[in-house]
Amino acid sequence: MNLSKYLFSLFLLCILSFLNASEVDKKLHVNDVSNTNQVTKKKIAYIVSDIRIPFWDIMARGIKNGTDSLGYDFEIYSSHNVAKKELELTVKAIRDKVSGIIVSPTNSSACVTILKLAKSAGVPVVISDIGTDGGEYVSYISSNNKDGAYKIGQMLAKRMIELGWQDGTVGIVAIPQKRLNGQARTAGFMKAMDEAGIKGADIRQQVTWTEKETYDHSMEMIKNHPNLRAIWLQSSNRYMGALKAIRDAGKKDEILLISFDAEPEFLDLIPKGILIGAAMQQPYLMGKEAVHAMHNHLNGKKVEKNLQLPILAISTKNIKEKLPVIKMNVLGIETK
Amino acid sequence: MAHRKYSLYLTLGLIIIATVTVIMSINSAYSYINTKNKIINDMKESSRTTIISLENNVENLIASYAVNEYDNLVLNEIKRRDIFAIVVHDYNMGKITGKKAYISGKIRDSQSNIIDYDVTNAEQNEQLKNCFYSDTFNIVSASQKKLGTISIYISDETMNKELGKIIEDTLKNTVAISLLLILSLFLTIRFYILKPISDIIDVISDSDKDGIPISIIPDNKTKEISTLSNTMNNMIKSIKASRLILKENENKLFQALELQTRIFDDSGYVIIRTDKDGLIKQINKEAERLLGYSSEELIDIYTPELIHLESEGMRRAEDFSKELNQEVKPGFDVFIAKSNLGLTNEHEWTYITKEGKHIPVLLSVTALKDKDNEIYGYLGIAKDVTQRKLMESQAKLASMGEMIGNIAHQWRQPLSVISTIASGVKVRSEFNQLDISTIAEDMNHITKQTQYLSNTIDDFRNFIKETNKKEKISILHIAEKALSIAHSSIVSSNINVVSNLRDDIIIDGFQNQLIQSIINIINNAKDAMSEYEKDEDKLIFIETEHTNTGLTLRIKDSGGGIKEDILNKIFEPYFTTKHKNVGTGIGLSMVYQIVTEYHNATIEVSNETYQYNGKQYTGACFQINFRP
Repeated sequence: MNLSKYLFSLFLLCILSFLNASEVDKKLHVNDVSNTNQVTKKKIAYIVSDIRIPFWDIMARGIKNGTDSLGYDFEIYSSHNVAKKELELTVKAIRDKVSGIIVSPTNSSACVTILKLAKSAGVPVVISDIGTDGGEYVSYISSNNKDGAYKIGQMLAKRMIELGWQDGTVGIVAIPQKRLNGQARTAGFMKAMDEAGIKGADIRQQVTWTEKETYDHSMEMIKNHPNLRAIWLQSSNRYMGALKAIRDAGKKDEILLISFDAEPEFLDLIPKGILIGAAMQQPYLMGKEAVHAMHNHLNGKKVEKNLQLPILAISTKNIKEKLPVIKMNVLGIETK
Repeated sequence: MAHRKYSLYLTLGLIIIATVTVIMSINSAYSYINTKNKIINDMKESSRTTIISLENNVENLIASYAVNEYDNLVLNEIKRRDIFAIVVHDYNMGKITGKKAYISGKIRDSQSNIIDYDVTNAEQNEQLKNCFYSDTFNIVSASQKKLGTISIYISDETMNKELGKIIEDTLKNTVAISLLLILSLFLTIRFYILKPISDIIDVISDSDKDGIPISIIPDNKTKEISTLSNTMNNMIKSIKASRLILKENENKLFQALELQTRIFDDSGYVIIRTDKDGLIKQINKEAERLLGYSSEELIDIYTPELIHLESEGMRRAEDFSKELNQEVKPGFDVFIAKSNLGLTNEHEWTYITKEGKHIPVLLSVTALKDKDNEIYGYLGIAKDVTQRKLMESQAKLASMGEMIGNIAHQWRQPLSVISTIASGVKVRSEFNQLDISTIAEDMNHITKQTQYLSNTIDDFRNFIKETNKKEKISILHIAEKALSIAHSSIVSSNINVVSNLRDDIIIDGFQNQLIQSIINIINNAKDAMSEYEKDEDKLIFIETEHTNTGLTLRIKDSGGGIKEDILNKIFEPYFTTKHKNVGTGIGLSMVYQIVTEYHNATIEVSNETYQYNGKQYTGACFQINFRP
């Protein structure tokens, strides 16, 4: 008798659970229906190599500014520079049924796989910086890395000549040269150096993206090249490592430091001449433009396949003038 | 049914074409199979190499989730090698995408462009399924964790294209090489074999009416054809030479035949040919004339027995039987017995003409032998010796006359002695002076003389006695006998006889004939010296001498010799230097006949100049050479 009751109770429980699940499903579905019935808010995913890096963070804010203004939901998927995670996040974004993906991939090769996965799911992709080795995308928003590097190179050359250091050499702490932007930056910078007749000393690539790495690269170049007169950082985020190396080497007033990209501190460091300049990308602007491109695509409008945004060559001479633009587009400091 | 003959060009051409075609076909097939196998092996090798190339790299890339990187590797491998598709099953990515494996890869489309492999593409999947060759390898991490698989797909399209190209190329090459080979073989064979043969045929075809080639076959560079040409040329030359010789021989044969016919018919001899059984097969005109029979009356009908005396045949059969020490039967056998034994078979016979006239003939019978030395017939050559017999009789009579003369000479002195002694006895008787002892002595002298006279008569009787039988005779004795008979004649002519009769020989012969011959020669010498005034100049030398072949009897005189222009005529019948009332011209011809025909000897005459007793003389020298 007790057993029968027990079994009956169990049966009831099962039935209830089933019904509940159905309800849940129904609810989801309802929700869905309700969502469908309502004007469904599209979602844009931003798959980024590492949101911890200020550049990407600023870009993300630019994207958010764009999605907010255009009425999209927005979610950041940061890979922390791990290829596996990047792919997992891509799959997740797809499963999350995003309307579009804006991607700043870990590298242009990984971007190809992202594009492939997105394509198989029918999700459009806009690439914001880094680039891709192949695949289909809606638009590629990039900085004119070459031109920017060229301008900053001219700036450096001018300064070195002013200082009578034209016979000195320049060391480069580079981003992975496998990246297209890395290659473009190096090419532009070296063009300026060649035109000025200033020789390069060495080029070291960032791998771990740590300050120590940048410090070590800088220190080695200083030691190995006694006539080193400048260090150019292709990425700004570990600038402190370079500064410390110059200081520790006792070459504070003997080695110029110049950067590609910028950190908020540069607003202070450049005027002080601690950095003589920086080629500033406009990540915030890039983010916004990426959203605009996605929006146009989702609405069936024509989209420019490759959009190169100019890089601001900021030196001590024009920093004041360009400050508003720097704050907004470079640093993503939104003014209310 | 006559077999149809085909040209050597056609036959060789077909053989060459067939052979080259078969060989090239086999070669092509072998080459095709080998190439195909090689291609397949290369494909498998390529597959293995690709895997080896991809294995480690793909492992690392799968492990680092660098999908595009290993995609690029796959792309590079497909580009580098002739691979249809490479499909990667990435288990790591699969986990991310919620599937067993993330399947990616590259595949070639219909234009052979390399495109992404789409696992949902049924056509692509069908192509992979029907691929010629595929192989799958596991991608394993260092910790032996299976990270995925790589599958290599190789299509036979390329292989087929390549094989097709190879077939096409091979076909072209085969045809080209075959044609070249056929052409070169044909031209070579034509140049080295057919053309020379054709040239030879052309030359041989240009022949004269006898079918002999007119020109010589040209020489050739090749050893064998040259040998053939030279051999044929030698053969042609030989044939031409043979024909020339044949023609000459024909002419000679014609001439010989003509001569033979002339000799056969016009020689003056009766010639009768029989077969080996004696049946007359051929007679000449002289036989017809002498015997009175025509050829048709005798040939293939009679044997020569018809024209012979039966009694004579029987007699001869007895004689020959004794002589040959074997039975010789009368009949045809008697004529051929000696011929069969290879002996000289020449005898006097008597032919009987159709009218029954008897004609003495000297018949010589010879056996006719073929090239195997077998007797196939007999040839009888007979000469009518009637005239000779007459001559012999005349000579006999002449010699008898001489003999009587000699005897008369020989008798004169003994008769004179007898007369003198008888006269003496008569005178003494008249004067009564007869003495018994002197009468006895006188009677002895008379008896000796009469004995001498009797011997002389015997000699004469023996001389005139005819004999047809040969007997063993001594040449020395013959010479002595002749001298004896001619002694008185010699003495009365005051001829000095120098005799050197020491060597002798015994022969089969007729004694009287030889004595007659020697006496004849002595008498001729005597006649030649009859005009000499000095007796010391009248010399006759007679000697015998052994030679290698027998015995030589030499009779030399000092009669001045015989004129050179008639020296070779003196043995001719009726030839004489004497007046016809004195010389008959038969003597020496008889001597010649007796010596040569009956005694198997030779007689020569020459002039000789010699010294004797310090004086030089010239005279005729008769030399008779006897054989044993």
